[in-house]
Amino acid sequence: MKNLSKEIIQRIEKISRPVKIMHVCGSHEHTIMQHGIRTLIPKEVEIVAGPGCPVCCVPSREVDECLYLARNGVTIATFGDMLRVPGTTGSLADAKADGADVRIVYGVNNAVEMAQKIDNEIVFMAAGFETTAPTTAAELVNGPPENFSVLSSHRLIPPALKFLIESGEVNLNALIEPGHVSTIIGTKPYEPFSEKYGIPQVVAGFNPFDVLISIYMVLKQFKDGKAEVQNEYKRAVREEGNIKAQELLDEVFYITSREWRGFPTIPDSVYEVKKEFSNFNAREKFDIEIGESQPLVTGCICGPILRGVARPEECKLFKTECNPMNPVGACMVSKEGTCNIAFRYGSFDPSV
Amino acid sequence: MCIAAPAQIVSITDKVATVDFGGVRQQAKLDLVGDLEVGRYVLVHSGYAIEVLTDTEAKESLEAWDELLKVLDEEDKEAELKSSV
Repeated sequence: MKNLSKEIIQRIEKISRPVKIMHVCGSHEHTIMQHGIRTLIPKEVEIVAGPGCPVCCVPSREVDECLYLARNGVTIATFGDMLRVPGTTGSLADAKADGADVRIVYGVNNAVEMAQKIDNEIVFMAAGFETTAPTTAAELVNGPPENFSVLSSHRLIPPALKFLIESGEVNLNALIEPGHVSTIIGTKPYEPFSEKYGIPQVVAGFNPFDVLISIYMVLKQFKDGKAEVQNEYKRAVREEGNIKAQELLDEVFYITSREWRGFPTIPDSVYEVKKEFSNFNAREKFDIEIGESQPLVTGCICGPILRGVARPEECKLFKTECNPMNPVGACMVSKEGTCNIAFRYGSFDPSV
Repeated sequence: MCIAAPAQIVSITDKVATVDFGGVRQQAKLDLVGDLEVGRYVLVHSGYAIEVLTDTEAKESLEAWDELLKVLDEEDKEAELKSSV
């Protein structure tokens, strides 16, 4: 049998050039680190990780909102990764340890089922990008129980990419787009980045072959003098995306501007629940009183890491004070976080 | 967190499918993909099917990547032909 990865790597070597390719997906970072892809390709082809972990991108302020609710008797249901994301006065795990009712669910549907079984008010802390937001939308449209509401932290990828490109801080030349976000939104929302900024883009799957071929496709665009959106992940991404999911998103959410962890306010980057569904919007249902939120723990460089301008190895807390057992920053909390992945799969620099 | 995996539908009750991930079975809601028949493959994320896959797409065969490389090669050949004309 022929060695496909070897063949792709040879192709990459043939048309290699100095280039900085950003991806924005925790699963891509996982594939890249687990398979040592950075060490398999020429050094001049630099792959940087952007804000690809939705849990890591939730700012302290939104954790603080949840903490307020949890500490005032509301049951919080959320994804396991959310529990240890730091807010200003601790995390949801801390609140749980202090007696608050914080429960882990695999999806919003589990939280709705929970609400059917208990009398207490239950708030689903809704983290996740465009992949996950339609699941929340579907539950709201289906009419959940009255004691159920959501605190939306659902975020959109293209506005963050626009922000990163326009800020110029990362100096990225090309993008590997997240496969499952694209399953929902399709390939069109990325087109302006190629048209306006001349950035080659490839929508990629999560197998190591997918990532390697996508790197090759990016380099080939440079070689051919092209800048367009190509779809490597055709088996799960249609050009138009999932229309049904998009319609549900439009029905339930409007898009607003809000900060991300490590970023200032990103215009039009967060889904918030529409007025028609305000009975199920925790921010409308409860008077949430929080003070000034503290953005980051001192010494933690999660911000620059999320913006793709620093690697975990550059953080003085990495592997010492900050580790998966005792995460200081959000990027070490989630298994999709760049620091957590770097901790598990070794160093980015093979000489270290 | 945007992890999704292909699974085959083994039964459907009220817009909720029981799907099989090669041995492990879970429930997946079908609200985002519409009506489907038992036997079809779907991409499952967070308790929901988010896309319908063909049988070959779900199996992630090596031939698919090989095919993609061939298409890219064809592009190269066409470009060479054009530039040599």
